Amino acid sequence: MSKNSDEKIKRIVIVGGGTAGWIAAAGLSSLYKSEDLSIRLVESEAIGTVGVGEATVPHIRHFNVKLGIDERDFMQKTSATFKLGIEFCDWNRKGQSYVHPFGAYGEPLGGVGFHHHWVRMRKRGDTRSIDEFSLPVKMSHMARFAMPSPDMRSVESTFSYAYQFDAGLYAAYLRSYAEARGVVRTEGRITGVTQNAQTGFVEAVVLENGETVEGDLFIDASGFRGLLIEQTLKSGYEAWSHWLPCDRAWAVPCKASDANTPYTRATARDAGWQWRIPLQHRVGNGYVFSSGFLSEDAACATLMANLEGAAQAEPKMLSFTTGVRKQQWNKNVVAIGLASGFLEPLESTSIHLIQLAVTNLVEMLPDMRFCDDDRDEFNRIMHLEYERVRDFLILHYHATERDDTPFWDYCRAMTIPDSLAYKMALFRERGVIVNYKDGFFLEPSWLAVYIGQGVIPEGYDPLSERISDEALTRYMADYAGKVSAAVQAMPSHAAFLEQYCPSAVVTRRATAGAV
Amino acid sequence: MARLKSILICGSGVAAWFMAAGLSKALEGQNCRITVLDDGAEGDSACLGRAVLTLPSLRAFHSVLGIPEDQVIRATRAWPYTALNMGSYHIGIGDHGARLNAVAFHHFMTWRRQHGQIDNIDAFSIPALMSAQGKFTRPVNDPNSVLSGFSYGLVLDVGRYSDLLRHYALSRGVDVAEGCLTKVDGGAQIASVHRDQGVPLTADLYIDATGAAARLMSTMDVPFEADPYLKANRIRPALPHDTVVPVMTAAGQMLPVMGGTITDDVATDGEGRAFVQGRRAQFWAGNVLAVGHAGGVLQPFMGHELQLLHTSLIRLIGLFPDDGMSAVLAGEYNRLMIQTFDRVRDFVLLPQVLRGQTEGSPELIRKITQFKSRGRVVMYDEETYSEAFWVSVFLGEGVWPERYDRIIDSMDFERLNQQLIRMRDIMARAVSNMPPLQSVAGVPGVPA
Ligand SMILES: Cc1cc2nc3c(=O)[nH]c(=O)nc-3n(C[C@H](O)[C@H](O)[C@H](O)COP(=O)(O)OP(=O)(O)OC[C@H]3O[C@@H](n4cnc5c(N)ncnc54)[C@H](O)[C@@H]3O)c2cc1C
Repeated sequence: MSKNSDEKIKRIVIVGGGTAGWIAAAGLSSLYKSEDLSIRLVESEAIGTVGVGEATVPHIRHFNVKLGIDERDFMQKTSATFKLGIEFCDWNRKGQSYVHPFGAYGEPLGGVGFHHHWVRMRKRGDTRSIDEFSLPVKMSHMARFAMPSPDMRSVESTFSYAYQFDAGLYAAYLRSYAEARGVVRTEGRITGVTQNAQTGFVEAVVLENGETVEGDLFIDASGFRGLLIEQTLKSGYEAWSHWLPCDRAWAVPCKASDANTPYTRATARDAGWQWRIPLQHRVGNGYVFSSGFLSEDAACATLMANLEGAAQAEPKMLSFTTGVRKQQWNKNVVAIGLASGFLEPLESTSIHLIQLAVTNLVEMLPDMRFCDDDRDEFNRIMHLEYERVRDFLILHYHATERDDTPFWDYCRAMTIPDSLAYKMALFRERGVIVNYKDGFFLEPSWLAVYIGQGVIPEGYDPLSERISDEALTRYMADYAGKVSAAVQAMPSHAAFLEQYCPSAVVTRRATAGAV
Repeated sequence: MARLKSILICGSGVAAWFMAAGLSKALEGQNCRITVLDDGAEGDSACLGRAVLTLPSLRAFHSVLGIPEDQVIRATRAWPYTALNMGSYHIGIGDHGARLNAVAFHHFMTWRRQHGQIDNIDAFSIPALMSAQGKFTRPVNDPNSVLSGFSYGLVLDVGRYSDLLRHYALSRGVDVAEGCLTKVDGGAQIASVHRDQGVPLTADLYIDATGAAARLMSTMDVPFEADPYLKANRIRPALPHDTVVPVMTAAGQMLPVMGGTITDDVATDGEGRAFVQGRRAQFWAGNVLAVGHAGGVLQPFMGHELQLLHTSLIRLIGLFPDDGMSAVLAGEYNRLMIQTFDRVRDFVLLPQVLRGQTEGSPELIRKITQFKSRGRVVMYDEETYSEAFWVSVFLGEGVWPERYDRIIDSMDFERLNQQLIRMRDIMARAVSNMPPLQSVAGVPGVPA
């Protein structure tokens, strides 16, 4: 029997120092002994990072806990705000909006999901929005925040949260974390790659100044270009643009006009959508659009015309093709971040997918034999995750009544993947939400987006009727009352941030502003 | 579209009464008439063998019905069990050891092995130790306690269990139709069910619980597909439950019984009852749902019979149709039940594949490959058996991962070894301090 010790990987080289590269460095360095394993990261300041990627999903907290990161310190240094969900404006119809919250709607009653009861009462003429029964939605509407309660019986426990932070500061934060744990950073532009003549495995990357960095395992975090995974190994790309036609984004930060909102906003526009991510010291904005339906200049003009405060930098354009690398792990190269594929930031999933890839890589870390099983299992799981996020994103575009531009006509009429079509059919007919073991959008997420996008079930679980109308009416009034009382008692998000984790950047900016 | 008003369950065994009991509770106050055409024909129970295991999750069923566990134990002459004896090892209901640094425990056993320490794997399993020593106590809720990492099922007399459920269903207004099933007007939908007396029966929804004969489903356009991997086709029930029970009264004599096999003897050809393993291409077609052996047959193993019934019931309730019989709901039910059945099939298949007796499905082969290679337990959607069950069989059958989780190498060698030995000692002590199984209230021979 072979032993672990004989075949261990001793050198990991991370190519790229964007968000993905430093997440990988931090994740790996926290778990392995440094005398056992050297981790080097190569990045080029001249090339730079994409530097967007500022909204997250709650899973990031598990990752931070695993790394032993202190939340207040982390939030201060990345100028972070809390995020309770995403507000979608004008997606189903112009003038209509909804929040996709990180949390539940009501609670199951008589063994039947709350939304069935809600649909039932709606059919009997109850016009209350399902929002009345979601604490995080109400908190978002009123820009309040408090920590979720650990007491599972209380309504204050019915939500979770994520962060909105400065991408540059986040990378810097993880960098100092990783460097403190022995990761060695090398500055320089990679101009060459050497491969084993027989196997094609990557043996080293060669820098502009002639330095060679050798490794056993390479993590390609080089961004869209996929320096190793694509340019060197030609792993191939599965494009999904026919379902998700946006292929460009303009991004620009601006001055914040109002108090911090504890959510990200995604506003549908003529040929895509605009994001608004509030941080403590500024607001991140961007217009994600389809160049097939709108010119780059027109998109830029739309974005600049729709800022709430003065722009703080020149707008920057990024091009992408939505899809996934056919093999995210090929030979001794594992791609993460933008090098592994791209799904637009509509549900802020990219950082999560990076962390998932790192977690899976830790679990499936290969040894020097690089057996195909490790690679295949990693690829199988990551592909599945990408597909499941993809379907969820398509739902936002497809389930719409908008017919005011050719872009929305296209999205409304396009053929969607079978894997999504049957889910929608089940929800439409009977309010059934399909659940999987893998795939991180759980029932409340699907529910929020279905209802928000106007997919209202025609039927509901007949077992809802086990609860009488009177009992249900009483329960619903009671729950809505608890929700609104809980929100009333919470401090504003801004006040909470101020006492919990005032941004290091805000302080600096305030001083600068005084000059 | 109107509410479903009538359900006809055909069958006389535990499958029929399980569904009748479960539905009578779920449809409480719904004005839905549930009728059972129980013609006494040999159904599921005969084929199941008479002693049957339940998995821990079946407790949820009893608690929904409102039948206290003591009552189940008394009525079915059951006793709790924490592990299935496989001869050279146990499949415990619970983890081996505890996770350290978020690494699953079997990696530590692999690590010890690679460093020359050959452990008896059962020594790290509380449920296996309990079973081997005839001890029992209920698990505690505190995750920090050694007594929290296991659970238990029941070994029960399935005939008595069926009676218990029957009484329950009847007390809740389930009707029994007289007569024997003679003919079914099937096709795309079932129009009616004929019997040797009285008028033909009609319902909005039919549940076929007639055992492997699948008297209703077989009239639909839904083929039975023999399992390509499970080859056993003869069954000889090993220990009728009744012969076990008297042994239970005398302390000490119980151990051989607990240590013996209570799963039935299966073989390819030879004596015993013939059966074919496999399942229907669909479990729900038109207005008929096939449950129990009418839906699919697997050789007895660790509690899957009642568990699959429970899953069928939960899925049916979750996708409960109205009288229009939606193809969308049926499609989802089938998707879920087919995956559930096939993953259970894989678990039943696992020891046989590891012993080289038969081939595995592609999903099972991936599982085996991943475990052998690095101790990874691949879990798919709709798994019935948790990781711990799979790990027990792998290790018990002598399949050790080639590699352990590398995070272990960043832990201190000596300290870790001491920690593991301490863990083993704590487990041994905890089990030896437990009361004997016979002292459980309600267990046959024990004053309640
Ligand atoms: C418009 C847009 C909005 C987004 N919004 C969100 C969001 O809200 N939430 C979210 O989770 N994600 C979001 N993302 C995704 C997120 O930005 C990325 O997943 C994240 O930034 C990771 O990028 P990366 O590290 O893979 O690539 P990059 O940031 O491009 O980093 C690449 C690194 O590789 C280095 N490099 C490249 N070539 C060489 C070379 N030849 N030699 C040396 N070094 C080299 C670069 O210097 C750089 O350090 C968004 C993405 C886009 C495009």
